[in-house]
Amino acid sequence: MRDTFRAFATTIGFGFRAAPWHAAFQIVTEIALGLVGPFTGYSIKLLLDAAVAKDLDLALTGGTVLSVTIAVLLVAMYYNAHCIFTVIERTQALADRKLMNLIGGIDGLAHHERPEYLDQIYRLREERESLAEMTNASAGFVAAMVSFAATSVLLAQVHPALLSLALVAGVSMYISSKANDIRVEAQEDTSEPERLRRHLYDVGTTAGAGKELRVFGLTKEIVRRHHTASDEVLQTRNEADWRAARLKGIDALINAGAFIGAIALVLTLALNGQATIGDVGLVVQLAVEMGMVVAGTVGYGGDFLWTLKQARRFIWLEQYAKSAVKPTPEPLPTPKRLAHGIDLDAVTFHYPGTDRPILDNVSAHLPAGSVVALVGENGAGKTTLVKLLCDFYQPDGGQILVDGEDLARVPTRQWHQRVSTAFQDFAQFEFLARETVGVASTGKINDDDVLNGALARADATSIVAALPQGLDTQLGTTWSEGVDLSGGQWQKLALSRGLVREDPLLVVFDEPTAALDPQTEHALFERFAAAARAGHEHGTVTLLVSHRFSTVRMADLIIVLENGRIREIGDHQQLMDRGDLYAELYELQSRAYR
Amino acid sequence: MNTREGAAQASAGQGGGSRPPWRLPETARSILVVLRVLPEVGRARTWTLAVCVILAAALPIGIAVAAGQLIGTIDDAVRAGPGSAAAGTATALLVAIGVMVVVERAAAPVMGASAATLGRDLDRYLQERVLTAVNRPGGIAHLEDPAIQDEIRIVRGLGMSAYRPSQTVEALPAVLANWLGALGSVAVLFAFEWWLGLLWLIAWPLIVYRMQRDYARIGEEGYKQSTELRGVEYTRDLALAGPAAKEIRVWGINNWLVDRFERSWRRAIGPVAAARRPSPLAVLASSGTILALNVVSFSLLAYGAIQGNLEIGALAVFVNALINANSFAVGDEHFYLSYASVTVPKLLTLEERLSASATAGERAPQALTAAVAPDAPAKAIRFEGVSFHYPRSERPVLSDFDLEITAGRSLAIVGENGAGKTTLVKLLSGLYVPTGGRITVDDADLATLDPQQWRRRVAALFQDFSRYHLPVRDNIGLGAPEHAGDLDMMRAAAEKVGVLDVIEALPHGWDTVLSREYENGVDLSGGQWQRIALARALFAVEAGARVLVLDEPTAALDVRAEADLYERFLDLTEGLTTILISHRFSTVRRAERIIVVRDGLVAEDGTHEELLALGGRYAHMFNLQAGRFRTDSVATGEGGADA
Repeated sequence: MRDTFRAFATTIGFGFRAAPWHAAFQIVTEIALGLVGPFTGYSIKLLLDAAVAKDLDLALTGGTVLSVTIAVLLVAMYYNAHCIFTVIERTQALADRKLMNLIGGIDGLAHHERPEYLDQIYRLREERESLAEMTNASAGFVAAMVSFAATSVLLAQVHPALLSLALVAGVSMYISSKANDIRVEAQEDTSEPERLRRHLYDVGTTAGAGKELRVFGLTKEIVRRHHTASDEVLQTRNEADWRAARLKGIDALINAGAFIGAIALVLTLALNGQATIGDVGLVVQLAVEMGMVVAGTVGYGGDFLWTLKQARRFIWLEQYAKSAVKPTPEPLPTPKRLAHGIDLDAVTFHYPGTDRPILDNVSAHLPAGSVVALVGENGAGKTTLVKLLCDFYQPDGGQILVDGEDLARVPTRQWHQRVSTAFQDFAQFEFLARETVGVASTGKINDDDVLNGALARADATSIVAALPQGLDTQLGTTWSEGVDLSGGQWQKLALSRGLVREDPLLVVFDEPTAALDPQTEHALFERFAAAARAGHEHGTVTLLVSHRFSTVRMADLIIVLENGRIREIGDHQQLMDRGDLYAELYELQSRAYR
Repeated sequence: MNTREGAAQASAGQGGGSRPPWRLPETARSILVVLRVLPEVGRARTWTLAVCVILAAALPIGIAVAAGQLIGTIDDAVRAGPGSAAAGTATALLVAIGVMVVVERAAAPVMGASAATLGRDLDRYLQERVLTAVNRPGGIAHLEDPAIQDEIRIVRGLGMSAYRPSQTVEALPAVLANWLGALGSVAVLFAFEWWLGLLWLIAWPLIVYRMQRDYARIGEEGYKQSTELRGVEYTRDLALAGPAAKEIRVWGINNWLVDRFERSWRRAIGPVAAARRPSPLAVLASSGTILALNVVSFSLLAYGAIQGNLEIGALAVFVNALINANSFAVGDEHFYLSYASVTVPKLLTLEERLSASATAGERAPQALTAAVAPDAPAKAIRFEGVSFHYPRSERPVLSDFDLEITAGRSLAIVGENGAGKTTLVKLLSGLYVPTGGRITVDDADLATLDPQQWRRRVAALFQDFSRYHLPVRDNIGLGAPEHAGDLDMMRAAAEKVGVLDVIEALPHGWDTVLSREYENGVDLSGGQWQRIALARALFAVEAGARVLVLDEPTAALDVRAEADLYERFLDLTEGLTTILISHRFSTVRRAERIIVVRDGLVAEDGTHEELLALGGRYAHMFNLQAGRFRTDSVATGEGGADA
């Protein structure tokens, strides 16, 4: 319950923070609009009664008040529509920023990688629109409630028995909320096929995937599969709509019965002189109004509950983000330079919920100023070790020591400031070229010297030189004036990014040259070695993950992982002399060059 | 005012433009287009909807009139007492009202469900129109066109400010019933004072027309901001999705992304809010007019009833009608109606536009096509003086390029990044057409061959191969959809690339979905994915493709997998026209012929041995690599020092 309230308070707070005046105006006008129905009914009563009583002044006053009300209503509606959209679009942007801050701001990666979190994250992303709906849903719901109350009061004044109309409205709301549940359930049940449909739509409409579709003759197939996937979504959701409609149909009949009953009652009262003619007019109007109140309550109530569901997910995310911060009660600063190096001390890591270790008791010393290569077959644990060293995850057992101090005590963000990376699965930032490279040090995005230096180190100068506007060229063809790059060119820019920072303590090259040609790799390799040597001044540890033994062999230290354990460790010569796994793999690859 | 289905956004500038006054307003035209499409989406439901709209418009008027008359009979009935004729009339009117109320209330859910389902189906209909339209052209240049991508995004179904066309359908019945009902009520007023009715008949439509025109203009302008909004979404999704997560953290750029999001959002949305703000003049003019009309109407009715000869029943009828005449409302349904419908006519003409003018870099769709011989290519594929630059780019990738690819042999293409290797493959597959020169298959111009037949002869593994969120079965089977049921053939393809044991070890074997976005789905490692994609290409070969294109097929493979693959290379490519692009000499040297592409020309051409003997670029590159392996078998003491 407390969580529910927090969820509500948080999301309604979005609306008021994003657009305070518009949100306030929206709620006030909507409540006022909710009163217009009952008010109209009452004016009709006055008018009719005045006509019967031949009271011209009263009739004219009633008519004028009603006219003014309608005119004011019209003005309010103009601005109300404007406010609704303003509130929603601003709230949406605010909610998006919050989501970015939370999802993008969590230091670890578990929420992007582990199935138990992924589903929540996907749903948050897919239903993010509803986070902006709280103001609207609440305003509509409150307005409907106010209208309900006012209508009930007026009915009770004519005759208390007419309150049964309000009672029936209660039943209607119940039935309609059941009908709404049917629709919500169908929506949730089909979130996976809808996800697939969207994936297929993307596959069918992007140029990259378009190549394969055409070569394999899949264009019709993809349209067909999109059709099948959406069939599942549509059938379930449409069928739910009709089931809900049937339920609402039953409700409509009950409602109509109450409506007729109410009129019959007031008519009887009038015939017996217990009600005026105006009362009859009033009740007719109010009975109509009650139908709209029910629709409003149920519609907005449904929106409200739906939004609340999403809001609870948001609260979960907030709490998760808080819990995912590595606790550093006595934070240590990162050292200015590494004197000793990085030590892995009995590092162990499991998949959550399983006993199977991905890393099992891994210990090694990565000396300051050295180039360390990490070798092993797919699944040996290389990627996990890199993620631990980058502090995306923390070891379940053992420690990572930076110059003897536990990395667990260094705040993740501080550590990240002193790490540089180039991954095989690098990000393709479709920004200006200077941004694509410069994000590695956002303060230097406009510093051409720094950027050109990094480009030169990655042998990417010629790529940028060939761009129509140089560093200021937009990358990515789907943007206006955007330019296309080849896979290798993208990779070189990612590599440049990894070489922008000048004082990292740890540099990770995780197969950064897979798409590059040999002489580029050779040239780069020599630069890395030089950079590593230059890194002596900061004691930088350069960690190279590679399947290319021609590169690996030059490392000062080579760690061979197998099934999460260190199988061998040493320099190239030592490992060759041992004649074990490293020597075998080396032999296997070098055979191609004989 | 229910806006559940969509967030609101658009943009505007002041460029609404003036159009000749006699033309139908944009909204009206868009709505007519939607109306014309609806029967195609669901004929029965369209008619149901139409009937419901008429009922929803007419019944409230009927109820109001009957209720008025009922009120008129009360006095007589009281005087005449129960059992009198007047009491009978009252009862009859009550029954009539009852029937109308039952029908009206019962029609509402039917109307709601018809509109909701029809709207959903319309979205799908448009999605499929767009999918079909963009998949018709054989090339892919149009998919890189920002303007086309903007349209694609509109119906994707998950976007910033997506005004889904379904919202038009959902808003339409409510708005139409509103308008028709109000017009009908105005007609009732004619019976009171014809000139008063006429005034109402002129005033409201004018106000509504103006309002819808403004809404449509905002929608139109918002549409123009599509690219900017797509950029906003792109930035947002970088932070929300997985692929860039590692780098976002290491570089600490999340705040930078948020700022960027904020700035571009403001750029896109700023003008909208300004344009959407109601003009005080219009608001005053319309509400002033309505105020005056209402005061006059009510006063006349009051005078008529009290000092004239208007009966109480008639008064009640006219008052009810007057109230209804005011229900033209300016609610947000009207907004959705204009807004969401703006895009529909554009989406419907996408296919026409795409086929009318081929995007630069694609072949004209109406070109005549000849059948591809069943054994093609039997002799050779030839590039004859081929030049090429990408659309919207001036930089030539190839100029006057000549190459003969012998059928049934393997060819490796070596060259620096950006030398145009991948472009050659794209041209060969017909994904782009040369901007100069021609490509021939057994002497027939590729441009004249039936592209679909030709592609059935080609199988390819691209560097950026697709990762389908589908079962393994389909990820491989999509190489040749017409043989997708043939598990033995799939197993053979998987076996060849050494991924069969991986597949069989998956939790649901061949039925395991390869994406963690789905329950029980799994994700594969980069190397495993690459082998799945390779198996897909080989499956196409099993199904009859004769040309095999491999663009960096081993980039993500580990040492054993790579060694395994190059050892099978000859076996895999036996009898096929194979084009291999790779930086890995271990694989390249297995090709029967190797060319080195440099500055858009074939610089070297020969077998591995010939090129080594030539001592040119290839030999240099190979020796560079080989040297680094060789040193150790010769000089044991030299260790890590590099040549």
